[in-house]
Amino acid sequence: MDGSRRNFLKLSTTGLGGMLISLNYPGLAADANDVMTTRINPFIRIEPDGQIVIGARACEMGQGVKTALPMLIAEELDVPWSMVRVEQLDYGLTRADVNGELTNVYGNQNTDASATVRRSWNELRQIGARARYLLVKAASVKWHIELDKLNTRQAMVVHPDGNTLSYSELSKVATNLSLPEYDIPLKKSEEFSIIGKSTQTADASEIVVGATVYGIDAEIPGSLVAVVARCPFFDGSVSTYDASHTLKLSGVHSVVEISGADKNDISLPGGKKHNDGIGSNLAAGIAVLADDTWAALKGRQKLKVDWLPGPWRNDSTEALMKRAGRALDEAAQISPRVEGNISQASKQAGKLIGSRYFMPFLAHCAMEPLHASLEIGSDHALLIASIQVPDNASNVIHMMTGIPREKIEIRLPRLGGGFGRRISADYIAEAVKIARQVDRPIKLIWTREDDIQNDLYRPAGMHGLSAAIDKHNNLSCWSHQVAATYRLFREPGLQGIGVNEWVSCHDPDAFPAGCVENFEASFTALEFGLRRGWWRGPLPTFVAFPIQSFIDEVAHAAGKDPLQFRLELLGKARQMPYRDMNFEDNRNPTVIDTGRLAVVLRKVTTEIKYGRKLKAGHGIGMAMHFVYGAYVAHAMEVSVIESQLKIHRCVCAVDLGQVLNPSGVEAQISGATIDGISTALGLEITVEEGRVKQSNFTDYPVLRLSDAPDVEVHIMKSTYAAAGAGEMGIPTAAPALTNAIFAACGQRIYRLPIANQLTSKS
Amino acid sequence: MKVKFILNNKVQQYNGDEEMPLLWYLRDYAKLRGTKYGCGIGACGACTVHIDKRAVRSCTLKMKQLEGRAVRTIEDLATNNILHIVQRAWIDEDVAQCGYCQAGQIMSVVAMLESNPRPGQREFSGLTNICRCGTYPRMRKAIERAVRQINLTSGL
Repeated sequence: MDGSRRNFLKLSTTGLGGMLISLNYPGLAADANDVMTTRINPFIRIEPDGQIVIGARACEMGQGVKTALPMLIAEELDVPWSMVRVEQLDYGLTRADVNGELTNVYGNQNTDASATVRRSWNELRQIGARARYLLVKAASVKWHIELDKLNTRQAMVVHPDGNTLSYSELSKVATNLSLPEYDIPLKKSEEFSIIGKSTQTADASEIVVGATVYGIDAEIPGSLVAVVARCPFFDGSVSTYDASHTLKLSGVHSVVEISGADKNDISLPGGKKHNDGIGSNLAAGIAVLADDTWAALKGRQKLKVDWLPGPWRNDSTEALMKRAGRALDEAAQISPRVEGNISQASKQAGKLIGSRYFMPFLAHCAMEPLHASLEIGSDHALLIASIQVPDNASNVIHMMTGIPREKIEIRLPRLGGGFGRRISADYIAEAVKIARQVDRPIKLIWTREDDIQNDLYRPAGMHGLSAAIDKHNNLSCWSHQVAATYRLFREPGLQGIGVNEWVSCHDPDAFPAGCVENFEASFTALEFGLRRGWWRGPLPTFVAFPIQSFIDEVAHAAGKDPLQFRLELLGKARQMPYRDMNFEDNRNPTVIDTGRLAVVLRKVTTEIKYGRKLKAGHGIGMAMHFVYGAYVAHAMEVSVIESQLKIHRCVCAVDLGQVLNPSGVEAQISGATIDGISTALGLEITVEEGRVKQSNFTDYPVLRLSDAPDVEVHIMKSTYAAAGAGEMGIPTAAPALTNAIFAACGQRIYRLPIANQLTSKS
Repeated sequence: MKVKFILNNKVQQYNGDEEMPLLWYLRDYAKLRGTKYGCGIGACGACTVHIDKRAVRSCTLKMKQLEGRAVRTIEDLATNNILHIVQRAWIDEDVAQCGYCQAGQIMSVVAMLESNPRPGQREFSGLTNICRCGTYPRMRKAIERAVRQINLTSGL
């Protein structure tokens, strides 16, 4: 066996399965001059001083995976976390030989759907366990003793007589040994020393001194800075432009035109459904290339461009709301779940109620604006950018340039927030369009205005809910019709209006499905020109607000307490089938456990002492939801006095299954709760005369320190499979808040954001 | 026009476009990229630096306004590799999520505590930097921790 090609794991997409193929890939960069540095596998390197360097494969955007994933490896490697240094891994796509299949040596590096920890839980532990196996085997060779007589502790292998050999002493020998064909048995949860322990954010010390290099801080030598004047009308185009004043500016290099939506840019092999309508999501525009950012920005300001407004020139959010209302007046286009007999149950009802809720478009507004540093050569490309899904970026560059995917080098710097925006690679496609027209690498920068006005927005829509209450004051019938701007309307290959795209705007298996005898979930697709994409907890945030608000309304109509009413509906603990249409490949749980949902709801209402007598103008509201395999509830106490809202307490309980990093989970749940409150209070993207109205934090007012409540997070002890944490805290924040507002002052919020709707004089 | 100013204790001369915001000078020319771009209109505070010890949003300050002034960026906050009390508190409370806004947050808090080591409600409401990850609760804890430390150190 060639020494340089030894012991690299090939991770198949179907799991490890005992497969071991040696692969010549650099893996975690080792110092070639330092013969004492040893790489045990692509993830693990042992330094001469004994430090263990563990590679982090996923994209860190603040959700803590750069800390969490190496914890999984360190646990099974059996090293103390204090000896570990974490290093970000580059994109690991490679081809074993010219005709071989593409393989990512690190497995799945994509970061979406709160799935990173979920999909890495066993896989990365196995990586650590395999490295430990090799080190123990190295000791057994040295000591001439059977493997199973040896143990490990503190990065050492321990002999039964008490002698020890450190991992760094053993690492050289270990790399010459082979692994067994089977999966190594993993630790039992009671043996964990790292999993389940609060662990500090891996880059914390660098962040506070400003030393962390984010995507926007990276630079390919010799780059030109590019900014783009984009057509403000959806699907509009450039009529004429005059760049003469721009080109006179010192520091400006050139201007290039980029075409907008062009479905021919991205054709997917074999007509395969790709989850990103990239080529068709671009705005037409003029790019200004300059020596520095300021010159590029000034150059853009001096451009004179006449735009052709395109087919959506007269559209607006208010017109969309009217269309949504009309759609809800008529029969839905598709009903993914129907049970019982709605019309009969309605006829027999003691009481019928109905409400409509409007959810606005939302922008992502990650603190770090979009950007891409890109170099395109004849047979090689280099991308350094903040991205969530490197597979998408790699695919886009490949499809637009023909450069083989294994020749597309992608670095994965820390992201200044993601929230789903950087799943899509539209801005990478834009960078490709510019870079192909100049002979130097480029650094594309979006301003905040570019970001807010050219986002892939959270879909908007109206929810029509109706319920029947029978003569015993029980819920007998529940109908939830959604009319919404489905997410992937620009996707190439999507035929006509996307009735099958209900999966992006409706969750027919969400509570109270399965808890009501007569039930219907239905959907009507609305057309609208605005680009749409994934936004933190895309579907849960879109459905939890109307469902949890309406449950409250029904409880009041039935003369029941909102907590008791929810618990009655959940009934005795049982598992109900759940179809996760969006993320089939993430091996999401396929059941909802009503018992686990009840537990988190009871927890928050107990903690906030629900039912106690409150001061005048105060109220407590609650909400619960099943989010990607996790169970989440919020309870908030607010006051509304003279139309002034104040949040006095905010409690959240989560059952996320097994917890990897409690401190990280607390941060995610707390931050997502504040995200949810911030969004519910004031955030909305509106369209007037075919253009997005908002442009910066002045009219997209993200919550600031003085308005943000403290969040009490309760993490339930759980032995279920780990569910992740990034998106779980957001969906129930808004309905808990608006239910509390109703409890405080009797005003029901039917349209988000709350903004200045409060009219109470209580 | 030449602009003479001090950047992190070193005298600098600037001969370029006097309209250039300090932010872009710091990032593109001084290569001090701990100061972040977030909004370009002084609304988010990601680009906060100190000018003569006051917190200022460098995206709205033009180079010509710098004559004779002293600029301090996040890179200069730790002296001789010893972290500022606020930086230490930020690590101890594990504040950062994505971390992008945190340099600006820290610069704002340091300026606040340097002018008033016992901040009250009024001072806190002057902290208007945006954190999109919503790290505010831990930020508050970190500020309280730093305040305790500062007042212990100064023997108050």
